[in-house]
Amino acid sequence: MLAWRVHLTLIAAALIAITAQGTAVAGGSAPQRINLHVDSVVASDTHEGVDKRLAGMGRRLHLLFNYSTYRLISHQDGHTECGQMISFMLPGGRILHIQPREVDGDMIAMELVLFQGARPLMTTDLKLKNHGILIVGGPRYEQGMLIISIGADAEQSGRTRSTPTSAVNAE
Amino acid sequence: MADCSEIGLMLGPFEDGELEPHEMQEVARHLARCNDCEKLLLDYGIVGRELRTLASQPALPAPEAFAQTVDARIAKLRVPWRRRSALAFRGWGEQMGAAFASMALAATAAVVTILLLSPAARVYLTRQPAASLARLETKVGEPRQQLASAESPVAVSTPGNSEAIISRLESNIPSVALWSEPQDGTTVIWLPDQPQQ
Repeated sequence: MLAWRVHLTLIAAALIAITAQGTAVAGGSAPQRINLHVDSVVASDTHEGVDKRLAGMGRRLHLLFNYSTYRLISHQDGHTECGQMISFMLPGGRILHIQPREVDGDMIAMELVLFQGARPLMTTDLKLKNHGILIVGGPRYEQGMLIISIGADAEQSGRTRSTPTSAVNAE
Repeated sequence: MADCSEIGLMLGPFEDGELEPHEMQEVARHLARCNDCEKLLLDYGIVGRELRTLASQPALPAPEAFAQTVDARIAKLRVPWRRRSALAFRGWGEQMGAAFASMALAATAAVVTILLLSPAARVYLTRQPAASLARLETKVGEPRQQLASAESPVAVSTPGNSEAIISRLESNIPSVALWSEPQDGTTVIWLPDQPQQ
């Protein structure tokens, strides 16, 4: 009688553990392909307003900075996979390397390296919320400051993977 | 010399041998010459034997044999099906109760495990406390807060509802500002140009 009870308990525990592990594995293997969007904006105090092409980005920039002019210099889209680095050419001879590392739930872990020519200006490891935006700014460009908006979207797993594609300037 | 009334009271104990020796002798001498008392003693003897017969208990078998006999007789009895089913279900219910309790415990452990392994929990657990949250938020619009020094790597985490969690930030620029916009959670890394040498 006792043995039957013990067996039943062990079987139930094993089934639950297998189900839990399956759920965890399914959650961890989420999306692998990453779509990246890099906008280069020049901010200045020339009172020319917000570039219409910035759309919703303009409100966000107004919340963050006090400049009176925001002008979109370039918009680039790139696609890569976790573990593969992608480069974006930025105004002023700057280069941005982005290497997504993993998708952890709703966060995308990645490494960013910003170069001024061959010299690295900044290296950072971060987790960016899926569909979130990170802004890197500060370097001077033309008559203002260069503001780089970096957005990342993780595609759902199961879709066809492709090799990283190079970014294309909008302008 | 005692008369019959006194001897009559002693006949019962005499029959049972409960008198003192000298009393036994006195009663015996009286009975030798008194027919009435002798007849009464005979009657006492008959009544005593009858009572002993009535009071005697039937012999019981040995405890083990008795138990076996009872078991055998119970086995011959037909237990009503309702009684049998009730007994069966009572035992089954106890077993299932213990099994369900064990399963509930295992299920609770599994739920806790799932919650701890969930991405949200991992994000929450890995998020470092941002001691500089208030200080950073007051700087919105004025990116002058210095969080990193030249040649010194910093490990920072943007706070609250920010869209980014920064675990490492290295730069050769003397002052680097980092803040998060509280309204929409946008995180900003500000890298001012170095002054021209």
